[in-house]
Amino acid sequence: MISFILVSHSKKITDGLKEMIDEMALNQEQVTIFSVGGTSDGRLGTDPIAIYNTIESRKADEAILVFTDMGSAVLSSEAAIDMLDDEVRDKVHLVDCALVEGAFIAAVQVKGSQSLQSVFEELKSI
Amino acid sequence: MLDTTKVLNWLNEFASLIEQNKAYLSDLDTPIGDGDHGNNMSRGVKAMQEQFAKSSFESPSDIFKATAMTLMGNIGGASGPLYGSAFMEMAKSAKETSDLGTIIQAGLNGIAKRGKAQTGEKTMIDVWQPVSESLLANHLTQQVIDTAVKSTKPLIATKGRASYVAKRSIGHLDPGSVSSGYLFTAMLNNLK
Repeated sequence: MISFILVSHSKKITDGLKEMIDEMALNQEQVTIFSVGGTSDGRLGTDPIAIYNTIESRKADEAILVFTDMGSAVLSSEAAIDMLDDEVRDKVHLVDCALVEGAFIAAVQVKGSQSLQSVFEELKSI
Repeated sequence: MLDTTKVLNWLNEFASLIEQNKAYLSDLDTPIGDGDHGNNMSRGVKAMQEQFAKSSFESPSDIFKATAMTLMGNIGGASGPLYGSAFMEMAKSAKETSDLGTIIQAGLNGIAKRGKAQTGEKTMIDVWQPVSESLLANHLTQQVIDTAVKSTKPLIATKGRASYVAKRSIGHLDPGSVSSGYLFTAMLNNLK
């Protein structure tokens, strides 16, 4: 199993993106998607602790891909990844691409792909 | 000497300064940021004080770690991971030393690493760097802090949210530098 963690300042964005990928692109036997937008008290913003806790809850997975939009979404994800133990951190990939396009295309790619590396190669062209 | 009572007094005074200047910090953030630095910092330091009230700490390092976690989990903006990374590195450093200059330098390194920034980019580093240097040389004064904060006014922002307005950032104080100034003013009042 691979986990996708979607991080944006807006929970509506990550909820909407999760819905879109779940319905249009996903093989749910291979990928589970988590919407980690907004702050824990429902404001616009990002929360490194929520990202950290989500990653920790999926640490048994084969890989965990983190998709972000901009600014503090990136900083918060990096801070969360820094707090992980080494063996968990090795499974986590902070993907450098546009949030919506990247997560959607990665979900499609994971279905037919031989390796995560080839998925990352594909994402570079977005 | 760094002890838990003094460190708690320092950070509680920092929280008071943020509360008193909450509106001012958000006003500073309005022309060059998203206008919420005061409110975000206020949420963070309130959560920090609540954590302090229900915890007992064995060392300054424990206090810094708790501060890192509560600021990261409650601020919401980029200041969360930036201040969080600073206090996380300060927690690690405080396990090895009680020298304040060394600890603040570790915090500075945490911010620089997290923000991929250096001095002169109109970020909180422009305050943390001179404060760290003055502490290490043992001549930190309020004037050093104030001068560092003011030095951000004429700069063009090249990192962070303010970089999106680029040249229009000239003439405005950097809000993160102002809130960092409060942190160090409170430090000077309680640890010197």
